[in-house]
Order: sequence, then C-alpha cells, then structure tokens
Amino acid sequence: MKDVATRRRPGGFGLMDGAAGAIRIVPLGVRQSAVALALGLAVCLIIIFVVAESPWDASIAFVTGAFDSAYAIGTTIAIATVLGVTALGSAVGFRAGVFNIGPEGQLLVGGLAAALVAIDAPGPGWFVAALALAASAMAGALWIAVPALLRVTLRCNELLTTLMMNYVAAAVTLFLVNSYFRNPDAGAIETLPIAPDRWLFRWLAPSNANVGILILIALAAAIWFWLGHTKSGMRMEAMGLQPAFAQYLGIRSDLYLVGAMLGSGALSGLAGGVAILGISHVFQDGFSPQYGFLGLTVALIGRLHPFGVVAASLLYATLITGATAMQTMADVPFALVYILQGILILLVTSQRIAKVQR
Amino acid sequence: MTAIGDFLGLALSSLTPILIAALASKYAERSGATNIAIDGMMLLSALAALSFAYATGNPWVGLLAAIGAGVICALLLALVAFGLQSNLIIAGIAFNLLAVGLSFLILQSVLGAAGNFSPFGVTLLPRIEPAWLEGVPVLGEMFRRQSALVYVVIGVTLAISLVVDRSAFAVRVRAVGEAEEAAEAVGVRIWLIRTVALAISGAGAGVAGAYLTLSSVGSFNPGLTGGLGFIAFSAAIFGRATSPGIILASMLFATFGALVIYLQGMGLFNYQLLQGLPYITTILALASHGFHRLRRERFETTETTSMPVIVPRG
Repeated sequence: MKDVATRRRPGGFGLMDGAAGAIRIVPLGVRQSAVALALGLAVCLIIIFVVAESPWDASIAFVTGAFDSAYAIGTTIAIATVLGVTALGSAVGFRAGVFNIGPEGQLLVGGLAAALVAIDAPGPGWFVAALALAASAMAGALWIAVPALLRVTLRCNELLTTLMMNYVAAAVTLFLVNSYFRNPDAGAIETLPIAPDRWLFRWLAPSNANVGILILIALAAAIWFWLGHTKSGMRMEAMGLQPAFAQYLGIRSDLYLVGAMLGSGALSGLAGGVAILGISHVFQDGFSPQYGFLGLTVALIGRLHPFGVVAASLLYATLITGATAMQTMADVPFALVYILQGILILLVTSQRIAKVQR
Repeated sequence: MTAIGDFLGLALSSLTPILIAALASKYAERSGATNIAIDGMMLLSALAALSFAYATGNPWVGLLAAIGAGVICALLLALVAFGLQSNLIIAGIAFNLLAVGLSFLILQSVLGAAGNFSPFGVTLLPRIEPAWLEGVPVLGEMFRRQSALVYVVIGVTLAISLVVDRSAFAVRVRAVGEAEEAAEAVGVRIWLIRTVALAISGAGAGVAGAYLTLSSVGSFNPGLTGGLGFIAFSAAIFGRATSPGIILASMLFATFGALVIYLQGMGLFNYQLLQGLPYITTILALASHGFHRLRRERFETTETTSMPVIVPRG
C-alpha cells in the first residue's frame, strides 16, 4: 500500500497504473438520496406510461403492491432482510475504500454452504440453522480472500477481480450442485429441500418474513457501534479515507484492508444463507434475483450508514415486491427494478446534484 | 493438422469480439476515461444489430445500427460522467446494470419475446470462403467459413495500430491521460478528447456486439455477453493499453475461450466447471500484470529520488 497517493497519475482516472484504491465513495447527504429516488421513480413511471397498456393500474400496482396483503408485507420484509445484510457488507467495504462488486458471487457460495450444512448436519433445528449461517459467512469471506490477497500483495484492483469471481462462483456452485448434491427427483438443478425445522422462524406465516430481520438490526447496530465508537472501527475508516495518511499515523493499512474485505465478503455470504434458510429453502439455480448487485445500490442510497442501509433496504424491497405485483397484474416486466437500480446509482453518486443543493 | 486448423478457427472467432472491443477501448483508457461499461454497450448493440438486421433484412444495416447504439451509449456515459460529475467507473458499473434491465424491457415490451429473441429468417452476415487459401494445410481450415466481420476487424486492427496510433489524435489522448494540466495549458479540450475516446470505445463494443448476434446464430438473450465485455476490458489493462499488448492479451483470452468450447465438444471435462475457466485466466492475467508492475516500480527511479549531480570544474 505504500506510496499509493504519490503513485497516482495526475489524471487520476485510469485503472491501468497503480489504481488500486483510487475510488473513494463519500456519502452525499440525505437529500441527495431523496432527490435520486424521486427522479428515479419518475423515470420508472414514464417508462410504465410508455410501455403499459393500462398505465394507471400498472403504476398503482408498482407503488402499492407491497402493502396489498399481509402476505405481500411479509414478502417485502423477507426480501429487505437479505438486501439489508448484503448492503451492510457493501457499506463496510465502501467505507474501507474497497470497491467490492462481487457480493453476488459471495452470496451464491454462502447460500450453497448454508444449504449443504442445513441439509446434512445433525442436531436440533435452531442449532443447525445457526451453524448454516456461520458456514455461509465463512464461505463468503473465503470467496473474497483471493481478491483481498491480490489487492494487498500485488495491488491488483479489486474491482475486476471481485467481478470475475462472480462468474467463477456461478460456474462452481452449479458444478458442485449438479455433480454431487443434486436432487434426483427435481427437474431443475437444485439440492434436496431443507427440513422445515431448520428454516429461519417465520413469524408471519405463510409469508417468508423471518427472524433474519432481527439479525439484520443487530448487525446494523453492531456495525454502527464499531465504526463510530471503537478504536479499530475508526482506524478502518481512516484507512478508507486516506490510506497513505493512515499508514503514516502508524495504522497497519494492509491488515485493516484485508479485514474489511473479509468482513464485507462474510456479510454478503451471510445474506446468501439468510436467503436460502429464510426464503427459498432449497439451493437452486437463480435463487438470487441479483440480491448482491441490488445490495450495492441499497448501500449507496443508505449513504453507507448502517441504519440508513436498513431503511433503504426496506424501501427498495417494497419496490421489488411492487414490481413483482406489477408484472403479474399488468404487462410491465420486472426488469424495471434493474433499470431503476442503474439510474439510482448514477444519480446518487453525482457530484453535480450535490452541488446544486448546497 | 485438421484439428489444429479447426482449433485455430475457433480461436479466431473467439478473438474477434474481444480484440475489437479491447483495442477500441485503448484510447479511452489512455486518456484516463476508463470505460468499464464495454459489457453493457456490447449487450445493447447486440440487440440493436439483431433487431435492425431483422427489420430491414440487411445485416450490414444491423452492423451500422450496432455501431450507432454503441456510440450513443458511450456519449450517454460521457454525459453522465462529465455532465453530472459522477465517478466514471461507478457510472460505468451502473450503466452495465442499466443495460441488462433495458435489454429485458425492450425484449419483453417492444419485441414481445419472453426471454430469448431469435427472429425467424433473419439474414446473418455473409461467411467468406477464401479460394486462395483452399488446400493450404492449417490456414485453410482456420479461415474456412469465417464471418465477413472477422476480415473487417482484422482491417480495423491494422488501421488502428499502423495509422491511428501515429496520428495527432493519439498524441493528444496520451497527453490528456498523462499530463492533464499540461494538455489543458496548450489548449487541448480535455472533456472533448475523453468523449471522443469513449465514443471510439463504444463503436468497438458495437462491432463486438454485432458479431455476437450476426455471425453464427441470430439469437439474443440478456445473458448473451456473459462477461465478455469485462474480459475485453481486462485484455486492454493486461495489454497495458498498447496495440501489440492488447492484440497478444486478446489472443491469450481467446485461446482459453476456444479451449473451453473445444473441450466441451470432446466431453472430456465437466461443462459447468469449464465455464469458469476464462474468468480464472483473467484473474491470473491481472495478477501477473500487478506482479510485473511492482517489479517495474522497484527498479524505477522516481522524479524526486535521483538528482543529477553537477560537479563544477576546477
């Protein structure tokens, strides 16, 4: 990590030379998030009005779909849990100056690890579930270990390596399930189903809202306390803001960097475990509708603040449930969520919008 | 001999999209406007190529539409990055996500296809049978029935590395990337150079996208690129954004891509595991790039550490 600041070219843009750690994400205020959301939703409504045959029904389904029934609310909470946990991972990474865009891959391997433990391990249900969640976090951390080591030893930009690991994760999980753990009775590529006593407890059955939401809140509180009130948390943040300066102060940057990356990966892996034990109850191809990438957006909208992330995940989950309702009721595809996601990232990181507000 | 020729033919068709996308993105990388959105541009232009070729019945119109789509995407990215002042890399990643969503939306709402758009009776780009290579041992099989676009890409590659690299434009691009303030001082408009460089990159991604849908199978789905744009981007980085470097790096990645297809055809290895091979190759290439960069820097004397010693005479 030595001399990163002095090694940067004056242009400061390129990824080619010594660019590891060149990107800094600075939270830009609540109002920027609000403006971004409002503009993003406006674009979505325009698209709905262009595309749909009955635009009013479609937009009403999009906005209110998440509150139609207790079941819809439960589904929203279940999705928010997964989004929130992986977004916390992204937020920890961003605050340490790490651009981890591999949460999707970490989520996949975490989900597979959780499923395998939950299917096979002996013991009481709650114990196996806890064991499975621990396994998912470990798998996620393991999956980011290679990019983390490459970053500190060879200064390889983690952006590309974590991204590539997404594709490797998709290939490897599919291979493992198909070759060793496949349920012979199922048509799709999936594992054996997980026994119901090992699911995360559903407090709003038959919907999938589960105790994972408590895990999310506890994690958010713990991360908030750690970043704001402990020595190691503050050191990590200092390292994220100014690695060379932190090194000068005597902070072992590399150590904190690897720690933050492993933590970020572990949280995304855990999110995979929560998705498997709380929502799909089986590992199947495509169990994650890009939770990992959506979590990146949620982390940015939540301004990288742990409680902001929780609020943003609830908000984004209502949009996802709304989009699902819209797809079934009207002829507007679910893909609107992905479009909204791209627009939100663009707007929420725009410095120009930040300037206009001041 | 036939096996070698067939394998090289496979490698050549894998090489074409990677090479053109990577080579065209070198000016963007050089000028300091890293284009990480190649994958999204490739995806949208692949869709544009197929739908325009289908609508007009002429694949060359499809190719032009793809190039146009790529350039429009690049200009939009430039507008967001320089106009809204977003970080270009974050904007690029957002653009990739946006492109996937947009292709889904166009597919379902405009073209009315559920998940796969394969229009019946679309004319693909012609395949060329070079008569003068007939009977030549390896080359004959290598160039047999390759898409006409392969020859276009070879021509563009030669043009870029022999002509454009020596033009005033290339010098300005390097000036903007390496000494932004100095370039500004002599009156080079930085945002203009970067925008043009991004547009060139978009055009290259457009050709690559057209190759994906108009060379062998006229079919599109939102997972079509499968990260090929990121592999092309890595080739540009691994090749240190120089023409010979990028050509060699693209050849390396294309060889592994062809190996995957070849081994799949032989049924020797597990299909799913092979799918991960190109990405692992890319990670290894990036690691070796980092390793060499570290070694280079270790022996490099920086601006301040060595002062010329002037010994006065007498």
